[in-house]
Order: sequence, then structure tokens, then C-alpha cells
Amino acid sequence: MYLNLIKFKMNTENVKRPDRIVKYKATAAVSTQEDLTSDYLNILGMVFSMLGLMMKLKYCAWLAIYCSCISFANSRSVQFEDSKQVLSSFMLSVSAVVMSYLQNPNPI
Amino acid sequence: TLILLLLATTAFTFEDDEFADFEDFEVETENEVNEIPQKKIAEGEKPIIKEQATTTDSDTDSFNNDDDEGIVEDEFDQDEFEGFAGEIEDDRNEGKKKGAEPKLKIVNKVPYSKVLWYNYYIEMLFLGGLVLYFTNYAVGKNKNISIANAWLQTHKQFLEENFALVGDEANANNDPAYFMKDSDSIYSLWCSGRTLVEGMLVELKLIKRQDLLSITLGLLKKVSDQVQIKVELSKDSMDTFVFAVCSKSAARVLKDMTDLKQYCINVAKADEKYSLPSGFCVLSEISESTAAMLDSKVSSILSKYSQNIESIHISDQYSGLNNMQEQDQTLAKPETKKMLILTYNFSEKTDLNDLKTIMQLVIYLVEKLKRYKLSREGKMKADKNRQRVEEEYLKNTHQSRMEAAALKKEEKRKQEKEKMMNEENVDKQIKLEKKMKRKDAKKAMPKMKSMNIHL
Repeated sequence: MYLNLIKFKMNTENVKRPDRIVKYKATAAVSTQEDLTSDYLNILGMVFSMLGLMMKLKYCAWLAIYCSCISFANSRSVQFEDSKQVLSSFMLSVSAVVMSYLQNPNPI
Repeated sequence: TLILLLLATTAFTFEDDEFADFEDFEVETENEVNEIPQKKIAEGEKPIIKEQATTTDSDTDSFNNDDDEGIVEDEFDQDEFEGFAGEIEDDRNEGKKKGAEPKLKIVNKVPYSKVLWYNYYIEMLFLGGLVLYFTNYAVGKNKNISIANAWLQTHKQFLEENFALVGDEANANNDPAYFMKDSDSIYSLWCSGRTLVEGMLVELKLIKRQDLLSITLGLLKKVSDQVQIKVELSKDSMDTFVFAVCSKSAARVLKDMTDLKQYCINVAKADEKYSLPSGFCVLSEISESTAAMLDSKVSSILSKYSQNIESIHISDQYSGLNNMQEQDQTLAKPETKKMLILTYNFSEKTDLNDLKTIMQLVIYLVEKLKRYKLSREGKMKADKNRQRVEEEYLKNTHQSRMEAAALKKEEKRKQEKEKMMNEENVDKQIKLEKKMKRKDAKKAMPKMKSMNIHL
């Protein structure tokens, strides 16, 4: 019922202007509310992996892996440096787990 | 990788020492462990021996007392030292000496507590969690992609009718890549090449289905898929006024917009006045433009889609969220654009076809904006507002501009004084000083003179 409510005639032919196409410039201002979860979790992951490495706390090492997974899932795939950061936090957390199990192979 | 290797090697060496202590510890424990039982046994035996000794003493007293005593003395010595660490020390030393060779044997037997793979149940829990996370990541990502494509299929035909360019050009394998993927849950589509419009950015902000954490957080607060349509209007296609209508939930976000804050006032009880669905609030600069915008068609669609449509924001001074801190540094006036922004929510259940009417509403509004001209007094009021904001802006930045200028002057003075200070020969110094004094005096003088004239 509502479709015919908007009865304005769509004279579509002369509406299109192929000559005045404007390329999309990714204006930084577009992303108004910056989504920071990825960065926060990245830092949290670094802290946890440091804890896991230094204090040999196995829980922290495992939590570090989870944090880097979550920051990977939320990462804005467009910026390149984001993916480098996520990769480095992954490597750090995996090394934290490996180190803590090398030193003390008993289960948690 | 090099660092990792280094880390690994240090870990191993570290580990050996670790184990070395570990071994001593074990050896001691074992010694003590065997020690204690021995002692117990030893005590057990000793009393028996003693009894025997005593009995033998009594029998053999008469024959060879010396030997018994001899025997007795030895044991007696041990008894004497029974409580002393020394005695254990000797045993441990003996144990260590004796045990030095077979130590490895002991170690191999029980290196650490019996550990089998099923003891690592917490680790398995963690690994299971990881596997669960990644399967959900894959499922969620595909779900988002399918929703984006579904939205695109329903709107493609309409968009292609209206825009020369829809989405990016065909990429390498020249199938038209419509959506630009900002993140796993945000897809944006750029359409351009239409009269009255520079370009239209449609941003699909979907629920982060690919991330378990946001799903669980999403259970607490209301989260829904959102589409934000930003139409950048060309210069002449809109008159100068600012207007926004939004549901209660979106009001908080919109209040932050610089242009709305500077120009608009909140219209009281707007939903009755403009027959809008209840709970909608209106921010408007010129009341006559608001009445023109919220005509019967728009308000009927708003009432039909009151759950979906979150906000409509039309403004010729749009410059995004107010970023006050950036403004101070740049000192330049933020560049403003003529924008029409419509934000609406939808869920998986809503039929995408009836969302098409919202897209048609956007195009209808664009057409309407072109036809709508402000009345004379409306126009005057709008210009007055812009003037006021301009002056306000200059006043704010004026102050910081003055500070910057004062700073520069101060800098210059200090340099001059410094030059004067470290001047070697004295007479040049005096000359410089005199010059500075004269300059200061001259600066002070003119004010007085102008005052006389006034008198």
C-alpha cells in the first residue's frame, strides 16, 4: 500500500549524470565514532602476554591469545598498520604460552 | 624468528639450571624421604638392638664387656647425634656421595609428578574455546556478507536507475565489487553521478556477529543492524537551513553534531505538532523549513517505519561531530558541506523490500530540497544565524590568535635582550640598552598624547 503512496514519477532518464561522477575519497571524518575495541584489546593482550612471560602465569598467556583473537576479529581491515599490530600481538601471545609451558610443563 | 630462537635457547639453558636445582631438591627429598623411614626403621631396630645389646650386655657382661660397649658406643654415638642435623648431614653427604653416580637413575624414574595428556583439561578447555571462537568468526562473517548482499540485491535496481556509478569500478576480475569492506561488520557503498547530488555513501553497520565478545555484550544492550545513508548535496541544490528529526535513542548522538548545536533549538512537543510518531524530537533552526520538510508524505512514512528510522538530519553547515580540540589547533574554520543523512535500523526479520521505501524517501527528500526555497524572512534569519556563528568563531579563535601573536612578540624581545646581554664591548651594550629604553618609552608615549586630544 505504501509503495504507491509515493507516486512521484521517476523520470529516471535525465536524472543520471555520468559526466559528474565524483570519486569516493575516504575522508577521515567519515568514521565519526572511532571503534576502539580492537586497539584496547590489543594493548590488553600485550599486557597479558608480558604477565604470562615474566610471571609465568599460564592463565595470562591463554587470555593474551584470546585478546589478540578478539582484536583480530574487530580490526578494521582497511588500515595496513592495524593488521601488522594484530599479527605482532598474536605472535607475542603465542610465544608467551609456549614459554610458560617450556619452563613449567605441569598443567595449570 | 631469531629473537624467538634466542629466547628458546636462553629458556633451555635457564631450564637446565632450573632442573639442576630441581634435581638436588629431588635428591634431598628422596634422601630425606628414604631418610625418615630409615630413621624410623633405624629407631625401630635400634631399640631392639639396644634391648638385644642390653640383653647381650647382661649375658655377655661377664665375658667381653669391651666389645659390647664398643658396639654400644658406636650406636650410642649415633643415638647421641640422633637429633642433630649433622647426623642427617653425614647421611645426606653419604647419600649424595653414594647417590652421585645413580642420581640420574633416580631422576629418570620420577622426573616430576605423573603427568598424562588428560591432566591438561584446563588447556583443552582453552583450546576448545579458541576453536569455538574461530568457527563463530567464520559463521558470523559469512552471515554479515550474506545480509549485505541481500540488502544490495533489493536496492541494486533502484540505485542503478538513479546513479551512474554504483559502488567501486569493476576490480581486477571485473565483476563489479560493490561494497567496500571497512571491517568485518561495516560495509560501505559509494554511488555518484546524479543531478543535485555529489555522491551518496551508504554505510551498513551490522552487528559484529563475527566476534563472540560483542555478541555476548550485545545481549545486554539493544544492538541492531544499522544503515546510514549520507547524501552529499551539490552547492545549489539546497537552501540554507539546518534541521533534524530523530527518535529518542538517537537524540544523544545528534546533540553532539556541531551544526545542530550551533544553529538548532529543540522544538517542544514536536511529535504532536508535526503528527510524528511519539518519542520523536525535532531540532530545527527555522520553523517554516521544518513545517515544509515534515509534510504529510514524510510524516506518514516516519510513522510507518517508526521502529526502523532513527534520524533524518538535513543541514547545509554539516561538519561532523564537534571535535573541539582539533578546531583549536587548526584555527581554520572547519569546512562545511550540504548533507542529508538518514539513519535507520533493521533486523534480520524485517523484509528488505519494504526498506526500499526508505531509500525512495531519501531520493524524494533530495528532490524536495531542490524545489524548496526559504521565504524572505526565513532567509534573513538563516543569514543572521550564520553571521552570528561566524563572529562567535572568530571571537574564540581571535583570543588564541592574540595569544599566538603575543607569544611571538615575547620571543622577539627575549632574543633582543639576550643579544644585548652577551655583547662583549661595554659601549655597544650601553647603546643597545639606550635604544631599547627609547623604544619602550616611545611605545608608552603615544597613548597619553591621544588622550589629550580627546580632552
